Amino acid sequence: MGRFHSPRRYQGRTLAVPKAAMFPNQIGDVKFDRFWNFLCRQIYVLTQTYATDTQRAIAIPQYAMNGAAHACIAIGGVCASLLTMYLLVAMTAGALAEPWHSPQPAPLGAHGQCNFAAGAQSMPNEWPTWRSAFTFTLTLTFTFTRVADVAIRTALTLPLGPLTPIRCFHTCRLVFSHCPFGPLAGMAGMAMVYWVALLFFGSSAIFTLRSFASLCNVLSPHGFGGTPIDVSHIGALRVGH
Amino acid sequence: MSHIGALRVGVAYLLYAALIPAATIATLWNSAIVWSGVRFHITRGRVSAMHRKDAKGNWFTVPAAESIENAMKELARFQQASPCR
Repeated sequence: MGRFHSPRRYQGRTLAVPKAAMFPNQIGDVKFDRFWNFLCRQIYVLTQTYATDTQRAIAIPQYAMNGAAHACIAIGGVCASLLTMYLLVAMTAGALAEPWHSPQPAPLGAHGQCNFAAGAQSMPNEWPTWRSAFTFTLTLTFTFTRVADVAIRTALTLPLGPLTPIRCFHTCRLVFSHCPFGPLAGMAGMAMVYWVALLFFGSSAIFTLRSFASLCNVLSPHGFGGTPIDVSHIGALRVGH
Repeated sequence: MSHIGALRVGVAYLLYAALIPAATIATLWNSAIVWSGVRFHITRGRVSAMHRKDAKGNWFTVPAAESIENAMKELARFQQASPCR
């Protein structure tokens, strides 16, 4: 029974996989024009170079979607940050206005409890335009980050159809208007969706990073510079941000 | 990565996310890209022209036929100079 020798073993050579081929590029301390050129080059290669029209037909919508998703993440990030700050201020103001040992019956909870929801209850129940815009943006962000990026890959978005963001918006608005904790609590929940979604993607990125690291360590058992790659110190929270 | 704070990473990611759509639009609108000092022009998915800078900083290009001819001559010279196998 003959033994199979891989070309690497036959030649007596060491197999190595460069880290740069597996991990995200490190562009170092560069000026904006070089960073912009780096971004454009990545997109350029994937969208402008192709062998068949089918490849082009796949690449361009994919990158249009990628651009739209990043736009939603950026706008949603700014909105979620502003909304979180606003909620913190409003709830703190509500808590300060409603003393810890309030003689009045608290809308939520028994007497003598710290009632942050007082701020929420004192908020008007109508929906100003800016609050709808915030909610709509966050809903779009939620849809793109959670539904588009994850569910499209698993083909689960197909039954939902293209009206998913509008449906989500109406559902959220309906839920918020009937939220027993007031619209502010509903908005807090919506703002939290963004941060939870980011944390979810951070965890996914960490999982991918660790998979690549273990793959590198398996393909290059001699290690990189004598030591295997270790990414255990990178937390999901940081990558999620 | 441990020397970078979470806040800085967060702000950087938001700025990066904002730049991606702009870079996508700019790239789809443009048929040329400068890569390592060489400006590549793409036509129907393939490189159609390459421009380099001369000593004065002006862009110049060599026609494809002339470029291939020079490369073939270079290869022939190399093969003549290399010892027979």
